Amino acid sequence: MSIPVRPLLSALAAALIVASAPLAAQDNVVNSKHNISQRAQSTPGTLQNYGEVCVYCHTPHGGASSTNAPLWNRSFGSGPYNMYDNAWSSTIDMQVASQPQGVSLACLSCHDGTVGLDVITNRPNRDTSLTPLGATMPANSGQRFANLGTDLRNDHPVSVTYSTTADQAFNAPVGTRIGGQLPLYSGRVECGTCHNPHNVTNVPFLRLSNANSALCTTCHIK
Amino acid sequence: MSRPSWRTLVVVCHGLAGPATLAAQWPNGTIVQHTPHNLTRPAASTAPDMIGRIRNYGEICVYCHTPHGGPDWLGAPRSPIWNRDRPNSSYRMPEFSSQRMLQDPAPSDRSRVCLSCHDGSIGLDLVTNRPNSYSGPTPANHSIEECEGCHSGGNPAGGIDWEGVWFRPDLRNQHPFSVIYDPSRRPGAFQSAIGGTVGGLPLFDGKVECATCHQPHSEQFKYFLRRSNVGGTLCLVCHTSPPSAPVHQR
Repeated sequence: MSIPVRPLLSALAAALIVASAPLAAQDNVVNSKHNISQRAQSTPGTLQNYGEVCVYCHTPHGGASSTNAPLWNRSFGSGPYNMYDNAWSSTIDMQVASQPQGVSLACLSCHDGTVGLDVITNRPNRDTSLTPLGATMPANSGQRFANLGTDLRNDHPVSVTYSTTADQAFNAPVGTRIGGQLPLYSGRVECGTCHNPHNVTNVPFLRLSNANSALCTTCHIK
Repeated sequence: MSRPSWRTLVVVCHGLAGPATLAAQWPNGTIVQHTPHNLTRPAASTAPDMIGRIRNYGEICVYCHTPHGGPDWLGAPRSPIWNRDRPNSSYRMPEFSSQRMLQDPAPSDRSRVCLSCHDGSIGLDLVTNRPNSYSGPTPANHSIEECEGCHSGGNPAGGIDWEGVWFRPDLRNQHPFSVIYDPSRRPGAFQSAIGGTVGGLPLFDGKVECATCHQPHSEQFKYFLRRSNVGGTLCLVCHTSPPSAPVHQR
């Protein structure tokens, strides 16, 4: 009997293509804590269920004119924030901005605990009968610390201009991504450098697994 | 007879590895992963006496650091970002009749960071924030006192001798710390401080602290020194060696 070579070869080729695909899994925000519609249903009376997932952060038309986050459908964190900066820390050598910049302000619009999670600019289909109920980020307790507040001095610094000249104990970026995977934003470390808000494969929304502290050591040489 | 499978070979090789000491494996580990401050290593140990001593959080940095929500006991400047509670033991500070510089009556927060493990009052795996990826049991809460219990003396377990790693709260026989570095208190005996450092060694709010001589991430210079002390060169960064003091000449 003959060996079916052609199907075997294409199966092998397919397997190789899959095996060599990048390690990042597909985004999966629908089954994550960033699906606020799910949260609205599970905690009745706290949040408006807009019946859509993306709308809590994004809108296809008439989004915020700032380029900090694509088609942003919320305000941006207004602060003022206490920064983990060069005055606060005796060890930080890179320059830290005086206030959070760029995409970090988008994250803080929920995560500073001041604005309701369902307070959005454009309702779906302009249906203004869907009014926000306004529940803000729950207070931290136990092992939950998603509510950063406006005092960021006990959090990893953001809006840091990444420079291995300023501090040699860091790995150089490859293009605009440290380790080829962690993006800088206008040369700065922001929330989005470590976090991908759409992908919960590596809890909590990490771009890489931190097993063996591999996420930390992508940048830090320790 | 059949050839041994690759699985058998792997098992045999691991069995032959034996209880190698840290010093033998990582003689001068220059990253924290290759030093005794990598607590995942004892946490993962399968030696019968080690099981259950330290929880394995699967991450190295988390035993000391956290990216968010660090506890609120360090004033500025804050150690980045400490993930342990403040140790509040009853300390006796170093006492030397010859000491002239002014020393705090109790360790400052900068050195309590180190004491949060090294004074034996807080379990090594008792961290404030555990990794999100960790779903194992709550901290075992065994202290460094227990480490030294076996890993010291005439027959250190596993060939690892850590006698002295447990800094009892009685610190009277330790090098002074939380001391305001002021060479004018004993003229001629100390080098000048410039810009908050002495010869490149950092002072903290003008004080000598643990981290003036030590950095906790590399054993390039045992034991976690900032630079080599061969020939006493680390000591001599601060202390001068006046020719009129024969005890200092070898």
